[in-house]
Amino acid sequence: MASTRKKTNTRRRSSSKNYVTEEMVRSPWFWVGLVILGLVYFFFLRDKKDDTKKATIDDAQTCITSIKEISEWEFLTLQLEEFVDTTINKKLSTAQSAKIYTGTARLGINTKKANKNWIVCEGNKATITLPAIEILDKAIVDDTQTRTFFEEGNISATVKEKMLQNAKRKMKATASKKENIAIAEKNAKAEFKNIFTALGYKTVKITFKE
Amino acid sequence: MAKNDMDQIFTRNKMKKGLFLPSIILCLVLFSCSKNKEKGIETVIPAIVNCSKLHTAQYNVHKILTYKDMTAIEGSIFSEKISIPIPGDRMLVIPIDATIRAYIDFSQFSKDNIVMDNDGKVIITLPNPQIVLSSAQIDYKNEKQYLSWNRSKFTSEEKEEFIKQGRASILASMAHSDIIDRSRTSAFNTIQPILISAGFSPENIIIRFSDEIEKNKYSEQTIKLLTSIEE
Repeated sequence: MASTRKKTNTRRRSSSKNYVTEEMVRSPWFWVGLVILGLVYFFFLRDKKDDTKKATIDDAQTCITSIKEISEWEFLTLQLEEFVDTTINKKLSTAQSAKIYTGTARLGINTKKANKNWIVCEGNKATITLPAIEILDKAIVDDTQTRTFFEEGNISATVKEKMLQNAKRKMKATASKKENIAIAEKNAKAEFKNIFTALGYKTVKITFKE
Repeated sequence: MAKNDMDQIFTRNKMKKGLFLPSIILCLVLFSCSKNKEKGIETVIPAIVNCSKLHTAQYNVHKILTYKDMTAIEGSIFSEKISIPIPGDRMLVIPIDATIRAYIDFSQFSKDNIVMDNDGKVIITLPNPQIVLSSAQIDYKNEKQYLSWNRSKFTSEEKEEFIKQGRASILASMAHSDIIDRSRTSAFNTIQPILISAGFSPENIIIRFSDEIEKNKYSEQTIKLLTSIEE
């Protein structure tokens, strides 16, 4: 009797320390439960975001790689969007990607490209020869605002680069249209006329360098 | 005759029914073809804005965005906080190159911004420089994901969210740089030659910015000139 009491006491002690008892481990239901828990974790919980905490990037430094003093006058801004899609057929699979690129084409003049005597003033007359209208920042696309519309399969870095270049080429073509150049020229003329009239010139003649 | 007519109508109906199914299949095939064609449609929505901005400084910057996913799932069951550790890593590195420009907005520039006197002195007040992220490119070739076997890949939506945060961080960091001061100097270097060409001598030209007037920082020289103009 005494020996059986001892055994039950030791069992109780061991069960108070261990959450998983020998009996539980021997039971097949324990293993079934464990597998179910594992599956639940793998499929539902493994990368589940905690809604209370927003995923934020680590605070890293921003490095300035180059500094340039420029003298560019922007007269027309075009906010552009381009849809680019691609499909890559491989032997066993197909990869597809469709993205919407956002960019800003700035049309204006670079005064550093002007002739030496681009402003000639005589009496009340000012004659200004402006450099030709061009796209000021050739990069145009702001890739940080690109939206992925659809993506399936593995899209390589080279393909992504090509898609970006394609969007850039299309945006340049849209921005370089004659109508847009004409609007930018008109705005440039109006602005320089405004400045020189304010400086006291009665006649202001503005032309563009060819 | 009537029987023959009935037979003819019956066979016609049969033919009609026979054509019905193939026609539906044909329609479905045609619709599916047109859907495939739609894939190539390009949407271009340009918004044209007339402006007058003098861009005076350009900074090219590089930022490496890093993100390390959470290592434990935190939650609560019956008001008890629990933390389940997630084994393995899930990390992301995205390098970004961006161009930041500082500009002076001339859209509100008018006669009121210019003060002149008969001695050939001129004071030009320019608006404060502003900064804009002009363009940016993600370095796809050096973009990396480090994933343990039990962790899932980063989705496009997740990456886009981190990139947006990176963009905001780049712009915020530029506020602590010298881009605004450099922009002012550069603006002076652009406007002064124009005024010299317009007949003003360099010692009679003062170019100042709106916030300098507010701070009343430099203005011994400016006040002297203004009082002389007023006299």
